[in-house]
Amino acid sequence: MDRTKAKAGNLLATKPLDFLDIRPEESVGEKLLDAVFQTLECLPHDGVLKLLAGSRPDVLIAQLTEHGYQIKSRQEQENIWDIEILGTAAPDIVDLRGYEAPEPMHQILLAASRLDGDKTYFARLPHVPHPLFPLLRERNLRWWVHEEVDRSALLAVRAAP
Amino acid sequence: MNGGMPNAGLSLEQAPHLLVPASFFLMVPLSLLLAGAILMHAGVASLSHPWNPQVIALTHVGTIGVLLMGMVGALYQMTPVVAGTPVAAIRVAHGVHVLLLTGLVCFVWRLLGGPAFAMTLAGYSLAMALLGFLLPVGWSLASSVTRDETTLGMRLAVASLAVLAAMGLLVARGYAESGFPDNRFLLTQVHLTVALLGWVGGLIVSISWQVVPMFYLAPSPAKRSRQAMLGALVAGLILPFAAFAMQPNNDVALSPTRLAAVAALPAALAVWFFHPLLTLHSIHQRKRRRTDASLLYWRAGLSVALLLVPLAAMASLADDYRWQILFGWLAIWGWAGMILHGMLTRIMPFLVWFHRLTPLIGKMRVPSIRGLLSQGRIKTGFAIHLASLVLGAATIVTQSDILARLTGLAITATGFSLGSSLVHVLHLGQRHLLQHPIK
Repeated sequence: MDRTKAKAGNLLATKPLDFLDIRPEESVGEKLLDAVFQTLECLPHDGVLKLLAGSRPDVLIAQLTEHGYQIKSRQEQENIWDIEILGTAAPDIVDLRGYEAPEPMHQILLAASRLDGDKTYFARLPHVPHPLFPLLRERNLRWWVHEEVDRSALLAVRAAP
Repeated sequence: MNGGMPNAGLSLEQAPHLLVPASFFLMVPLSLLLAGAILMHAGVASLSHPWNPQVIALTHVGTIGVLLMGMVGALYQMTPVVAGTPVAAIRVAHGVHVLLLTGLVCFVWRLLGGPAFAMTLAGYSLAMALLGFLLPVGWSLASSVTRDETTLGMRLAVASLAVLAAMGLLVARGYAESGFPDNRFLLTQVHLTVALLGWVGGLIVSISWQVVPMFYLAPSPAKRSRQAMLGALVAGLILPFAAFAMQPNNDVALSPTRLAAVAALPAALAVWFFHPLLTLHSIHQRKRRRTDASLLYWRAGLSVALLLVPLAAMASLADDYRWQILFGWLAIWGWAGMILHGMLTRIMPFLVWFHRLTPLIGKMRVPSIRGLLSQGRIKTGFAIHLASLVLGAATIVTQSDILARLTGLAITATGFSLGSSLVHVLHLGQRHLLQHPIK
């Protein structure tokens, strides 16, 4: 199981976006379920967990749905499935992939300026928005970004505690 | 997954101040005024025989004053974003700017009848400017952990700039009365190949993979296509150097200079055939078909690029020197100049918006980048640029002195149009900031 953690440990408790590559563990059912649920427990209720799977994990999806999670699954390539697990209080993910630069940046900064203390803003972008990061830091915001298989990105922004 | 840690990634302090790229970009319209003045003063002599000093002067106003200035400014801005590593000692950029300008002015002065020491001064100024640019930018690109094709292409372009500069300075010594090297013609041919295909081509191709999808929502070419283009580019840049191992001979058909030109074919096909074809196709397939005047420049520049391989063949094979001049004119002003002009109309508003207006977002209504530079202004600039391009081509074909001077007038108008657009955008950003100071 490959898990890319954020570098600062104290971020784990509030990290609203995480990623697991479950392809090596798919055949080991219980171990996989434990790992996924453990990761979800570390996420806030409005968090999102991204999974990279070799096939559609139907059993896992059924269990997660029973626990109130929303699941979105999409086959990216022949042996690559993208599974998105949305926390029970996850907000809508704003899709900014259809906007030319710098419109997505404009929208994100605008939305971030209206963020309440413990809320998370999620957006899908056409690519990882490197020039945005220093602007978020200037505003004392924290961000997490996941680069998708198709090189688009999922971004989470929240206010620093 | 990357996290937003307080000290991770780039900070605004590490990114270059707006003044750094803007100071280089503003040299582009000024250089156009200089090019226009040369054409209006020297007339058709500046678009006649390739070895005419006026032609060499005009060519280098185009390559150093327009292309190099614009591309150096763009690299200072893009290197930290694309490579993820800041450019060290960014303040040196101001010195690079002054030295490049000094070098260009002295270079042109000598070729238009100035004293020999002007070329010596030009050589030292340009060498120091390029060292001041190449060392920090090259280090930033080389130390980047990013291994995508855009970063590789940028590295190739920067390495090409170092090589072409060394060759150019070697030949330029002849104008400083220090004697031309024995293999002057071969050196010039390889200098031209590395300049147009490695430096200009490498940068246009690799940056287009980043900016065309970002600004126009056009699909990126497949990874394999990008890798194949880079491979062909590298091959076409290395092979011409084999000609230096050949003994000079009297057989014109198999001269080292001609073989060096032929050996560049893989790179020429990558930059002037496959890249324009794929990029035009990609632009045609873009997801959001919103009218954007800067695309006119891309379309025109890429269409001109498709003419360059046959024109290069004619320039290499035909005895009529006009083919060489026409090839150079279309490559510098029709392909690279056109794309650079279009990108400036997109990048300058973006930078002003990024540096001046983003701090205001959420506090007040902030204009979009389209609100900083109107589509009408961009279209006007395009029409004048296109007119100057056609006039220049007609001058070369007819060798008409009056057409040459009209071309000079049109280039001057292009310079005024671009300059006024850039200053207008900077002024708007500054005015916004003054009216709404950041607390």
